Amino acid sequence: MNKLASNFLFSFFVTLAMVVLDMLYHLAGGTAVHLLYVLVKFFVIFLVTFLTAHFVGRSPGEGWFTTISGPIIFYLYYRFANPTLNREVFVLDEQFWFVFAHIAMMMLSYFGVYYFVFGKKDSIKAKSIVSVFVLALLVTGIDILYQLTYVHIATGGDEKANAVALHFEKSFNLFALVFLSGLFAKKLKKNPLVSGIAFVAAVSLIIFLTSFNLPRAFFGIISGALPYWLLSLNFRGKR
Amino acid sequence: MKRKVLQWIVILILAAIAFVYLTLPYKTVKNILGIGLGLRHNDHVMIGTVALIIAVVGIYRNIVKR
Repeated sequence: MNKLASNFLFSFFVTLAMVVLDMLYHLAGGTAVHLLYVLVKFFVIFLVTFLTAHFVGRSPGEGWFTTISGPIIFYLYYRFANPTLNREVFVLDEQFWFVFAHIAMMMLSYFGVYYFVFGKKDSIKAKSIVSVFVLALLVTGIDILYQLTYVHIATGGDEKANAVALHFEKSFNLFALVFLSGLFAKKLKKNPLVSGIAFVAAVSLIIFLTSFNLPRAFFGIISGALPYWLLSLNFRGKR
Repeated sequence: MKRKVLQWIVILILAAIAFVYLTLPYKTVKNILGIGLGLRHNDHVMIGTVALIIAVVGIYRNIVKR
């Protein structure tokens, strides 16, 4: 894999993991989460992570720079942009202290993905748990993006409907169940194909059982297979 | 050396774009400076944000990672 693709994948994983952690945090705290907010945050964090990884490098030093500068730049965007949701109806994460929460989540996701990619070979057990944690975050993230996009299209871009589409309990249950099924799938690692198929089937089934939504469960095949396949690629590349 | 100077000039230009589009009020950018580009306020803020990101990463690359 060349340097560009390697850095792109690395940044994609870091950003998606950070955005999912952040969404779960906001849902738990009753702060509004809607598609445009998620997309802007994804774009800003991804751009900082990718440009730093590609033009400077990937190391703990660059990790700290990305971890601090990404959320601060996003906060600046948020302060100067006009909010698209009504402040009197929805709680928005525009207070300054949210920067520290975002930094903490960015730190967890950057160093989690970094450890997964560049961790030492003598810590395979810990590395395996981190990889399943990242995998569960990515699967949850793609499923949440599917839900938000579906509501966005179905309601003709109504952001108020979008902001009440997600629920913390359902999203967290999905994350926890996917994490557990990922741990079981890792037990079958002697046969990667069987392990992958078992994981994707489990994700699709979990989504169906937690939502009783058949189209979403079918999309769960992509939500499960795409991150599983991408994480299996060797994207260490040149640092 | 020449390349380094050029990089710093580009960073300064990006920082200026970031300042104008990110921080100045919409009416100032559109009517007084006349560089509204027919876009909405949030689009201006996004242009400023992208310029700021490139400038910050450029400064980090030039200063910290010499």
